[in-house]
Amino acid sequence: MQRESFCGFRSAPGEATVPTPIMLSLSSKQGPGTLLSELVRDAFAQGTRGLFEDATQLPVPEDASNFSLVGQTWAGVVGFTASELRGSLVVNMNDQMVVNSLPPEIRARVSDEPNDPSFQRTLNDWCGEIANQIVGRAKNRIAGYGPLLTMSSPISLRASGMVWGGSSSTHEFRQRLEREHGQLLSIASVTIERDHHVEKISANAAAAEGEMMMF
Amino acid sequence: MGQKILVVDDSETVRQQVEYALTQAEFEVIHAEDGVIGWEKLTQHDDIGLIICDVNMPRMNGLELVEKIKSSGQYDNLPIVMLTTEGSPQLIQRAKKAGAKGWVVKPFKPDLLVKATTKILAKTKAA
Repeated sequence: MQRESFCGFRSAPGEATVPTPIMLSLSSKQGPGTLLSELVRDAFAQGTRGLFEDATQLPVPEDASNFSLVGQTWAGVVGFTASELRGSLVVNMNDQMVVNSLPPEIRARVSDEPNDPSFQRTLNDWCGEIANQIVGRAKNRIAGYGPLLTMSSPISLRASGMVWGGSSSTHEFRQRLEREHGQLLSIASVTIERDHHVEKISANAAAAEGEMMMF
Repeated sequence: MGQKILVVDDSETVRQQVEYALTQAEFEVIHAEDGVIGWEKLTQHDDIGLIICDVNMPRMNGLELVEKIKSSGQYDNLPIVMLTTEGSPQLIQRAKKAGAKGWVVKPFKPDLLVKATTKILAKTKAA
């Protein structure tokens, strides 16, 4: 499927690259508390890396030096909003990267025929779910400092020759994780109304991934 | 075949993942892709022993579904476990208040979900 313009993406033939990658440094702190923009950046960076390390059971190296959408075929998108900020997360992967991030029991049963409709349906669904789970992880980290994000349902699309058309957000946080079968690119476009320092609120501490509670 | 479990999640892959784990443990599984269909399935099947339910879903979210089920007065003893990316204490408290019996944050470990399901079903039976 090709779309002319979709959540900042547009289809274009041939070479499709995004220049000027931004390297991420985690947990920098200035003044009292953490700057909201740094908290959001770190939350998405840690959420993305954590999800893929959990999925693959291997450390995922990060390298922002070659942020290129060439060969990327899937985009998963989730929007989010809170009183202090709003934006969207877009994750980009190729077929093999989506397949390798599937839960092992699903990966073992997925069709290996790329043109099989069930193969495409599974990848379409999982790409959206990956975006959903990354935003969920970021949401849980950010909630510990006050802002409570409301998330949209995930959507995903398959396209060729995707390029990132940019956004009008005040902040754009990019991340590139690479494995032997491909790369994951994530772009969190966030508008922060008023960047300020935020403090951790212990009462807002969210449950962590994999945690289970019985009532 | 063991007890029937209704799995409500808008991700087909997550539904399959939960189904795989539960059927390995000899539970029977039926699916719904949102709260509206979840409610329909519940009213169509009178032998559902437990519901595993996502929170963020289109049309009717998981918390709305729990509140609808529990306020109906027909399913007071039906245990519901939330399976979600959400971890905020406010939402967990809302689910607990509405009558949910458990909360699991995705991604989940299949064996732990099966253990939780078995434990909650045993507890419900004993009550």
